Amino acid sequence: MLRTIYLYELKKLFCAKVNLIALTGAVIMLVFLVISSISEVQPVSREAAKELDGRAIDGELIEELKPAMKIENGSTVIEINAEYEKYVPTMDVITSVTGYDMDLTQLQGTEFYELREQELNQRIEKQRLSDKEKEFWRNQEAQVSKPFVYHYHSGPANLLKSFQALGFFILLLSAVGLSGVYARESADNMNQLLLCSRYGKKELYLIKFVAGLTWILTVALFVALAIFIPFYFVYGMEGMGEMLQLVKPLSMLPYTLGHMLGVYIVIYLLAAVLFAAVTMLLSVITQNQLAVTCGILGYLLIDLFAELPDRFGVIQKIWLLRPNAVLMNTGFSNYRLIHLAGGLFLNYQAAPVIYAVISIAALLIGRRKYRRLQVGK
Amino acid sequence: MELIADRITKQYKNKIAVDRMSFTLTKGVTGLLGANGAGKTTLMRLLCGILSPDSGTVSCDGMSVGTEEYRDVLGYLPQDFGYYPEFSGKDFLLYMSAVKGLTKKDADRKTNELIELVGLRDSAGKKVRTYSGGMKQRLGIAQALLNDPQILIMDEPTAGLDPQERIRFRELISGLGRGKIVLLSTHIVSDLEHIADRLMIMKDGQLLWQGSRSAGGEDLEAFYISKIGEKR
Repeated sequence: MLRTIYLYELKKLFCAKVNLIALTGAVIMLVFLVISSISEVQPVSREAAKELDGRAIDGELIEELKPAMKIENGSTVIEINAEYEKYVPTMDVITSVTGYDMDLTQLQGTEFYELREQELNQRIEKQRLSDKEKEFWRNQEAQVSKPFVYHYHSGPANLLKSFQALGFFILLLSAVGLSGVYARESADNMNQLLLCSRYGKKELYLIKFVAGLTWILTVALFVALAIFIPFYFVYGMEGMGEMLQLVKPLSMLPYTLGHMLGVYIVIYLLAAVLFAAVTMLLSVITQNQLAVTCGILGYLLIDLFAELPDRFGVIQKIWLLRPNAVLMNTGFSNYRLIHLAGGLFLNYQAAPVIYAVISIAALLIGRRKYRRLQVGK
Repeated sequence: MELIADRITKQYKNKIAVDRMSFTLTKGVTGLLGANGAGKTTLMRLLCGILSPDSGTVSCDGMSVGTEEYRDVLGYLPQDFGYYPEFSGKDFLLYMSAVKGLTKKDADRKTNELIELVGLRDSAGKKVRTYSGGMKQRLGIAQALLNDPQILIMDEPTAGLDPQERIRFRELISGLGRGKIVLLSTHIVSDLEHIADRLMIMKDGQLLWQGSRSAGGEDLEAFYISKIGEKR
């Protein structure tokens, strides 16, 4: 009979009109976002992007592009025509480090990597890293092979960038879909029936929690597919084994794009679990669906707009561990590490553990609260 | 089987909803009479364990009101409650059966039996949101009986029922009362005239009177009004 309760709890979530509307809306908006992002970018055909496969990104490559470069007020302007279309992906790597506010025609040999090192050192100083952290990054950077070798990687690159939108939508869907898991029955007085039933206190709480997690993970899969499928058809999945620096040149992590995508998928799913667990905890505590939804939407706004500067040491470190910050790829340009039990950990390593711990804590606190729930207080 | 309430009290801010009430309920139908706001609903919630008393205890044959075994023998029909709009009437009963701990086989059997009993056979497959007030009330009565409860507590069960349904309901309760503790609250005295074995009269959170139905005489309404008036 516990399975029956679970199935009916799923029915409540999956058949609720508001949830269906929210999910459909999210999927449509994401597909629209993908289509607009594909059509907005400079149209570099797949064939052209593949022409430079295997080429090192260095002064020689920049030399070939020089005829297309013009210097205007000290800044470089690149005029791309059909002949130079193939250079766009590689120039993206270079300009991600240098920007356009310099004369790129002067870049010779491996100067690009010297500029990159200077930029990294500046950031490390600005972020006031400890000696241990600096050593950690030196070791990581030593494993990054240079010069970078270009290979076609548009598919995984676009997927990696899309996780920020996914994190935003999954939080939104959690707020809409799960805020009523425990609160709704209080609002419509169903609690009176459930709380005086045999399984209405202990088992029902856990089953609702599991059903909530099932819903959010299913929804997470749906919205992820809404992005992955169009990207797959447009860009393919080639480039999973290429270096992360082709997408994030200022990262010092010696990983491949495929590796980072795997990490992001795990973090994304755990973030969904975290959002669901916290939403359901708030649902138990407040017994007010509207209050929970508004509270989470309020958090979402803060999450989107609040940024803490580097001088906020520990607080910034904690703030950057929130799911949307991790999924926003902040870890590629913020080099602060998490010190734990004598070890140093990347945000990507610490975040999943922290999310799991918070989710379990939310489950336990909620259970305690639910058992003490009363009607008509 | 005896349901014992011992000096239970419940206070909301400045209002005492239930004031040191003590009584024992045994098998048979007990009618709980009182005007709106007398504290009947609060008392019933205390007896169901969904509201904790500020003081006093409720127990049944040694079982505390907060235990799973107590909830296992309890059936409760609240005065008003929502339904899941996405569920059909049958879905609702099957869901409640599972929450009440019935096996799938028993749940199917009992659900079909009760759907028949409360006259919802033709509309059992329809969404609850399409039900009339009376149909919802009958569905509520059915859910209270799902686990074949030994203690049946019903808060204003005849509200929303038409005269014909009221008569059917009285017959149903009359039959159930033979083997169970049934507590039925109402402010409509005629609902109890022919089915109650005992009566309790509440006013302002206090138990004004309790005794056998026969002590109320032929005209129960007049008896009730006289008792309510006594306190004034």
